[in-house]
Amino acid sequence: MNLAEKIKWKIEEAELYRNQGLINEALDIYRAVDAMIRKNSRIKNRETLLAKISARIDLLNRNWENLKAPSQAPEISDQARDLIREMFSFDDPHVKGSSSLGGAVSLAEFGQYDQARKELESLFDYDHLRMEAARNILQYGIRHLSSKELTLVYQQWQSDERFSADEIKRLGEILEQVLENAGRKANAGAPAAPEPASDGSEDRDEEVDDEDILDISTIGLPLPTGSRAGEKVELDINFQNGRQINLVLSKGQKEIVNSLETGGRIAGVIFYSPVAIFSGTVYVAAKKEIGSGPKQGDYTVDLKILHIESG
Amino acid sequence: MATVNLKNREIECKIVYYGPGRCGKTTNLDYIHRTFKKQVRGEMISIDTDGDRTLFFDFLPIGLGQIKGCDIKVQLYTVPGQVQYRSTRQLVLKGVDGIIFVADSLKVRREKNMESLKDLHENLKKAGLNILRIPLVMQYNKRDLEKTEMPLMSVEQMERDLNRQLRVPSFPASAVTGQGVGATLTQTLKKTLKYLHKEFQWAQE
Ligand SMILES: Nc1nc2c(ncn2[C@@H]2O[C@H](COP(=O)(O)OP(=O)(O)O)[C@@H](O)[C@H]2O)c(=O)[nH]1
Ligand SMILES: [Mg+2]
Repeated sequence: MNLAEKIKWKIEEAELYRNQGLINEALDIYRAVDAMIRKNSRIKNRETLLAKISARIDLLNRNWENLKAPSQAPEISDQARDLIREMFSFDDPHVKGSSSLGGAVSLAEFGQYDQARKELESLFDYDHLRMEAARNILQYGIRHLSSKELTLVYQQWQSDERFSADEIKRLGEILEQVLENAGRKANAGAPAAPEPASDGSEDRDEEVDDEDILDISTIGLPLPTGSRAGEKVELDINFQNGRQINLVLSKGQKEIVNSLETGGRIAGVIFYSPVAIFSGTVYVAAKKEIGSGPKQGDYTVDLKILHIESG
Repeated sequence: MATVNLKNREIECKIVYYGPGRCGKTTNLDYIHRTFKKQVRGEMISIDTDGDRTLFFDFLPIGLGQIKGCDIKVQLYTVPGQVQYRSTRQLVLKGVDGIIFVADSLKVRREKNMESLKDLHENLKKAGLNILRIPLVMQYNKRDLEKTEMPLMSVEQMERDLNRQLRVPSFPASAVTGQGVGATLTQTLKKTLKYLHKEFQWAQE
């Protein structure tokens, strides 16, 4: 394929992604094509091509910004609202009124906060629903009200006889927690409601060679030596690259670290992946104390999966 | 959980189309809506769709008529695939009876498929359901692109990525041409009704 053909083909690919709404995937290709053309001064119509591509990149960037912008609570019709309420309210036969609670929470989830709050407040009369209703008003409220407004909502409950002193105290704690969570997010510079879209490809990894190894989230490790030998401990994976897995253990888990000998093999290890559980043998490739940073004093352990039992 | 009314001999169950953003869930539902007119019981409702992005969910009620002496109604839903709508997905999954996992055959979406399957697994677990037990069918969508030069994964690779351990029925499909759309749904309904029979013994011989 000569360069002109290659460019043409790449642009077709990018346009396919764009048409499918895969903005990041399209952007990646246009950027690559742009670089390809810039490296070659002998291409026909070079300037026109570059201008076209840069216009496309601008357009895609704008689309991407629009997508990322947190969408406003959408207006929906009464009919749609009834549908939501009806479809997502689940009767718990043991809890009278539980379907009203479910329906109201669904409205809140789908951005209909004002209506949801009205319905939740109407549940305050029921002892067994009151706290759940109030908690949801606070939790969904943070997406729609300022901290001050939300605090005001809580303060009104303080003079509402239906709430006991204990309930008011508990709700105060919940409010604090809700505000704190929101505050933390604000400090981190992230929008309060939807997290930034990551529908794109910014987090694409190298392809893993070891096709056979699934994403492992946790392992169950029988301790090979020491006073707790034979005991099975469950440890979270810090990161994984195919057959290599890395664990971080805290200072308090020193006994576990000591039990693992570098170079040793451990059989009967259970691997928990999101979709399945399987077992196999690992090899302790390395272990060391972390010397600096926030995890100073903790331990890092590298394991390599030697083999996996089938079936 | 399905509503099973043995006295009136009625079953209403819920099937959810799950998968990463832009894999073709809404297109599946659209196709069913247009093609299976006899089975469609009502309007397809896309609750708040922003441009062509499903923000909340799509909904289509269908009816299968009498099966083994029971009137079978089915609610079809799609979830918003974009990562940030996780809580919406959890809500839509409530009371699910069967799942169609729609995977995107485009190579560039390989990781997104895997992430979405993992997300499904976690959300089911939260709902007290087990991905290994719930009626589940895979669909490898956009196979029509095989005719073009576009970088597509082979069905074998997708099986390895997504179905090596689940080992559920899987169908190559194209939601735009309709190829495999009906087959995917039929298989899911079969599995779901069988599962519900185990639970409720609804079928009459
Ligand atoms: N070529 C092709 N495109 C498809 C297919 N299914 C969906 N699409 C396109 O992919 C894009 C996203 O589809 P959509 O159904 O909205 O995806 P959703 O986010 O999963 O609901 C749209 O542009 C569809 O036309 C398919 O089977 N083949
Ligand atoms: Mg959609």
